Amino acid sequence: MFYSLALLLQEGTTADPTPIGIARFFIAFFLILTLYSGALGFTYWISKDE
Amino acid sequence: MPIGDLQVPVIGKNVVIATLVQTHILFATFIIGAVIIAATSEYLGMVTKQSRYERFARSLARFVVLLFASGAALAITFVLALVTLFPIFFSYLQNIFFWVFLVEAFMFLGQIVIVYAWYNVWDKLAYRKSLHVVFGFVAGFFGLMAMTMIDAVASFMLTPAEAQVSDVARTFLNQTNIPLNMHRFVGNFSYVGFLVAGWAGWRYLRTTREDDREYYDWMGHWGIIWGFGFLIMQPIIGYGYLKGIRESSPGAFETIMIGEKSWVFNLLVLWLAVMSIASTAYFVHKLRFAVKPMEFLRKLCVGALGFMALFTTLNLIPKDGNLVPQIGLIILGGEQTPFPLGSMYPYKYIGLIGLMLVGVFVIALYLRASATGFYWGRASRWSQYALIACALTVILTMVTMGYTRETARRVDNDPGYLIYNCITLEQELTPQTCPASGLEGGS
Repeated sequence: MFYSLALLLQEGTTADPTPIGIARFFIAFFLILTLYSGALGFTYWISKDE
Repeated sequence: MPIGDLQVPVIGKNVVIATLVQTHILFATFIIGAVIIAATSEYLGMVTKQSRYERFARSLARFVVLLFASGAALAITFVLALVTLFPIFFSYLQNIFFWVFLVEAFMFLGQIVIVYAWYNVWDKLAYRKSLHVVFGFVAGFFGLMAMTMIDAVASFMLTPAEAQVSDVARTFLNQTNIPLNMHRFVGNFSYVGFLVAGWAGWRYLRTTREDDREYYDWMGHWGIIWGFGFLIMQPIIGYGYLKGIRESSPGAFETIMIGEKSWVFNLLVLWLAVMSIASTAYFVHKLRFAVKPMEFLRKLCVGALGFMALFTTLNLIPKDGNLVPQIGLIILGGEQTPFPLGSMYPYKYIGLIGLMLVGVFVIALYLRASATGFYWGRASRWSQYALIACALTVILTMVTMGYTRETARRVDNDPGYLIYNCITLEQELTPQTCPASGLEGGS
């Protein structure tokens, strides 16, 4: 279903995207923000009582 | 390929590198900018005898010291991932940039040593404040030098110099190294300024103590001066950077500016619009609380807010209906339907120049007002939401810009490049198209 949806979304496009490419784009975005906010949150947590 | 063809399931190896590097950059930029802002604040505390500068500097320095581990761990994990997943590419990079990486390593070491020493001797050097401030600036200098070194590598990957790869000076000073370095130098302060402002806004809304409300109100103001003050320099520096890319890697330039990936720049100007309008609205609001009432100046700022909205909206108009072709977001026949107001010349130029001029005007008015002081602790809730919006948006800006620079080398993916026109994503050399000579061996 995801595959056909992705193909439908790309109908008429001139680039050569693949469903996995689009998925990876958002996976990377999610991972970056998770790692970043996680480390920031952790740093705040270990320092907030000082 | 004899070695180094490891694949990462599901997410692929490009995502591994992108995630580690982009997250590392979010920390590294924070650390470089924060150290210099903290050292400057400490200096201002010393000169003006206002205790809030000292409190701010020390808190920020402590946060930097604690955060350093995360940034450094990500850097080393990234290098490990690069060696593992792209060993051939890495060995070329290491050969071309041996000296640069060596200097980078020592600058990094210097930064660690001085940052920790700076924070650790805060009380010990309480009566030798000038010396202590110098510690902070030296730490900032080491950080900036480390950034300069890695910028040489990053810029070379997009615009390899038309010279022998063994020519250290030419590869180091490739066409976009200086503009990239300027872009990041200014970006450090802007990024940290907005994050500080956002954090202050959050704390202001949460705190119940009057003295803390005053402090966090001031901290939001201090952060946004750095954030917005440096942000408005970016369009002209970014123009210089893009000019360098257009002249030396036109294919990459076209991809991100007028081609299939031009939506990344529309995203960027969207973030720019959010930060500019939110900052200007914050300034307009803050002028209500000037110790010396400045009604005329405030009216000028309200006018500036209107112009800011006008110019940023002008920047947002896409050039045609081909919005995001990668996901099929095409309207009104795509490329067949150009939008006249979305063209680069003259409208985008008008938009960007207008944004800068209005930005300089409004921050000059704000600084003029802040010279006489504000009543702290009275800011409204929505002004703090504006600060928080700026902080969240600046993170998205960083991620968008990182993606833009790296994806520019892909052009049409036929093939995509690790070093533009020189080494493909499959780690194969393409000496016939590479402007740099000597990669394949020989003299």
